Amino acid sequence: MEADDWKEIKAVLLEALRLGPRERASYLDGAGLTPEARAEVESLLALEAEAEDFMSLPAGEFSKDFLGGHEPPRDALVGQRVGSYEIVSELGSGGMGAVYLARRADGKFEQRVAVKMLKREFNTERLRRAFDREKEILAALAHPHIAALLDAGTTDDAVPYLVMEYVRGLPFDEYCQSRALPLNARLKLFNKVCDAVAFAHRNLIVHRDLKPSNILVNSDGEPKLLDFGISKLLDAGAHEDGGVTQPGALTPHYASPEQIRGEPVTTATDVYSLGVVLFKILTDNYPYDFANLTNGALLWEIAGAEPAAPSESARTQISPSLLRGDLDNIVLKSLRKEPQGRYQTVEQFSADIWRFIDGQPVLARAATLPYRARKFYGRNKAAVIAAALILLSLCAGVAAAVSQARAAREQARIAAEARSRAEQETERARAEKEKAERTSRFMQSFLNYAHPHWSRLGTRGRRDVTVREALDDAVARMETELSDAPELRADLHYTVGEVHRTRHEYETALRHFRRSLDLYRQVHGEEHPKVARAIYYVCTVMDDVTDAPIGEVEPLLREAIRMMRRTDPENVNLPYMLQSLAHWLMSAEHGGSESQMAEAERLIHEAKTLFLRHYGENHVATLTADSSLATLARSRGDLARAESIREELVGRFRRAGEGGYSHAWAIYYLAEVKLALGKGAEAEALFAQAADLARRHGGADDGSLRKLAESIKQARAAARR
Amino acid sequence: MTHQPAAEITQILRDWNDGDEGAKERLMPFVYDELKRQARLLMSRERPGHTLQPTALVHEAFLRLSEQTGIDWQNRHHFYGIASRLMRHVLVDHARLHATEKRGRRPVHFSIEDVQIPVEERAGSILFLDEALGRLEEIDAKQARVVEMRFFGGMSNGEIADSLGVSERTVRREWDAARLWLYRELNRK
Repeated sequence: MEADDWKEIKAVLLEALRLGPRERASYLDGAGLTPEARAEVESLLALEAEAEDFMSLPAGEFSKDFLGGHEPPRDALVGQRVGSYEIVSELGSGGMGAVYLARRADGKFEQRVAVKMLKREFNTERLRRAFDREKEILAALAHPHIAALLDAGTTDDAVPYLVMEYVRGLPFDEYCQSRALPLNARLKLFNKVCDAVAFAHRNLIVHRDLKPSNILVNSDGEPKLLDFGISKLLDAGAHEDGGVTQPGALTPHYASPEQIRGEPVTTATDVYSLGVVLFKILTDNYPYDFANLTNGALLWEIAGAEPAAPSESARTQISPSLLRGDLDNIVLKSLRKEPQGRYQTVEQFSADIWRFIDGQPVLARAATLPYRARKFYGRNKAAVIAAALILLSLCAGVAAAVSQARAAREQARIAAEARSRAEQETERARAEKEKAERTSRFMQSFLNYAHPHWSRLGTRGRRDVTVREALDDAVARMETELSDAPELRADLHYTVGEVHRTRHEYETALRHFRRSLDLYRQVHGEEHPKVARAIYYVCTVMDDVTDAPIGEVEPLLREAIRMMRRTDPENVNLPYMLQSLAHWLMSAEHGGSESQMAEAERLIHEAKTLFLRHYGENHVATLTADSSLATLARSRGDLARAESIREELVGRFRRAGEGGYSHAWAIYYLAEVKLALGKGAEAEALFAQAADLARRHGGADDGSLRKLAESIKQARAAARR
Repeated sequence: MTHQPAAEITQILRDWNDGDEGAKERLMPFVYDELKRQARLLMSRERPGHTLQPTALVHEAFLRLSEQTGIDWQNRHHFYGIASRLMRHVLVDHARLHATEKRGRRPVHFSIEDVQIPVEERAGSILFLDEALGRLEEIDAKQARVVEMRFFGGMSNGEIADSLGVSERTVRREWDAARLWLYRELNRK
């Protein structure tokens, strides 16, 4: 029967049913049906009485005897052959498929495989097509960490199946916990999983169902991803334990917010689920407090609540302190609600974990400077000092430029009242504003150097660019880009010089200090505190530069001090300058006469007075002035005075609770004096104390630490003699 | 081990909302398992005199799935439509296991008297009806849906009318015509 015929027949049938038996005949006569259609209608009408209570009982009630109780035997297929394999047992079942353990039945060799089959009741054309598509996806996923597709086919009764690599192992989280794996081992395993997922993504396949039970770790310690792509069709992870549903048996712990919101699923979905997996293997816990939540509430949590930090949730053998900071940030970045806030690729996610393993700065964090500075510091302390100095000077420069711009704008406003000058001033305001903006842009680009990926933003296109290179690049660029901001350039040359000085690159440092001096002179003329300061900087490195005109140092220092006294006597650089000249006069090479010593003593006392005023009694600067007095006493042969000053100094360091690097040096110098006084035992004890303190204090750079250790060794040897 | 279909279900429902008719079929396995669980659960609790109402079954399954997936099923009738299709799958699936012979030997009315008939025979009748309904689908899909919802899903005419967007009267008329047609199919030689 055709659909159109039935439509016509049905219409007549329904009308006839409304009528009594007598009216029906005449109605049918006038309905204009073909003889066949009429016969059809009549045959149906004839059944009306007989079929009166037909289907009066709902199917469920009618079938309840065989609906309940008798479960289909789960192992019905055991022993059956599927292709060249024989089913051994069922591994799992769920959704529209089931997975069986099978072995080769042709006896060629012993091989265990997992066979996935479409359930018979779902063996429809459409689902078969879906099964086939998934088979093709799986065939494309040949990867060491993805369970491989070995074979595929259909059974004799046309049920499609896939033969998969059988992975014998533990779920990822159980594996980590049962072996009490250390942190880095867990992270490296996780990165292998990331490799597999990234590989799938490159093949345009999103797993969508990543969870520890789909990641088995075999006895070789290699993770294998299961149910790739096919997870849409088959879920072998489920074991039905007969009869009644276990509460919470269906849990979306690893589902992403967008999956819950019903939004499109992308690779970021896998990033999220991997984030939950990482959370689980690091903490043996979940990012949300899933306990005591119904599944509905749980979904609400995933969609809306802020995840906890792993370090606050840890229940593993891994100490929360290892998770705090970077790993917290990495995991939380992967768990962002909005997909675009997460790592954009699994590779990026994995790369950040490698960075953590390697002790490099991780990307996972709002790009805050203090953080970067901290990481930077861990790797290269001199570089950090450089970066800090440069940033400071740049900020100051920009602040100045901005305030100039503001002032210029104000002037422009006043000028507007005086029409004759208005245009001119507005133009100047515009120019100032532009300068401020340009400076700001330059500074911004410089900030990028501090970014771990600065090379990508810069021009060199490779990683691990040194701070030195970054500096050179900045210097080269500032000469052109900031050509109309000489003061800012002067500041920059100074800070760059400082960087080189801390790196013991005195020639380069001197060059920058000189350039800085020239620029300050251009801007401020011959007499200015900044010029005085710049002269002083030049002097500080000249002694360390082989070809430098040493004879100029003393006159230059005197000139700088004279200038500073006149232009800015309260300048904090003045006491340093005084102390610097004192040291010059005290030194054997450049001075050492009694009159020079006397002048040095006056200078140190003056410096100390200024330090006291600027910093107070227990500041390191003030203490160094006293230290200088002790050195002076020693140079004059007054060992007793040197000893008493140094005793006092060590006491002050101790009272100040300094306990740091400078404290170590104070003790060291006291030991030296003791040694000179022939108090060998005392000296040795003090040397040991100094060495211990220096070692414990992390702030010492390696060079100084070596120098200290070396001196101590020599001194000890001397003490024993 | 756990089983996590919620995300999958949500995605499928979205596809369905977007007009992907195939989505319904993809959804079925998930709801199917749930319905089967519910059926077993209800049967295991069966007391004397207790009658199994497919509507109750469907209702339970619906509540549970809503909770699991957090899905706000905007149109409950959509769900009943799916659930009815699934009840058919569940029953046919079970019937297949219990039918010794595919077709009932004598007309079965699917009425209260029939429950005295041996299980095997009734199971066979379900399979028979399922086949007949399959043929009806080919010539009148909407009518077949009405049968599915009412007979397998246990839905009322009003619910079916809402679900299909037709009047209750139309549902009644379709049901009457379908019953006759199916009855004749089941009693053919």
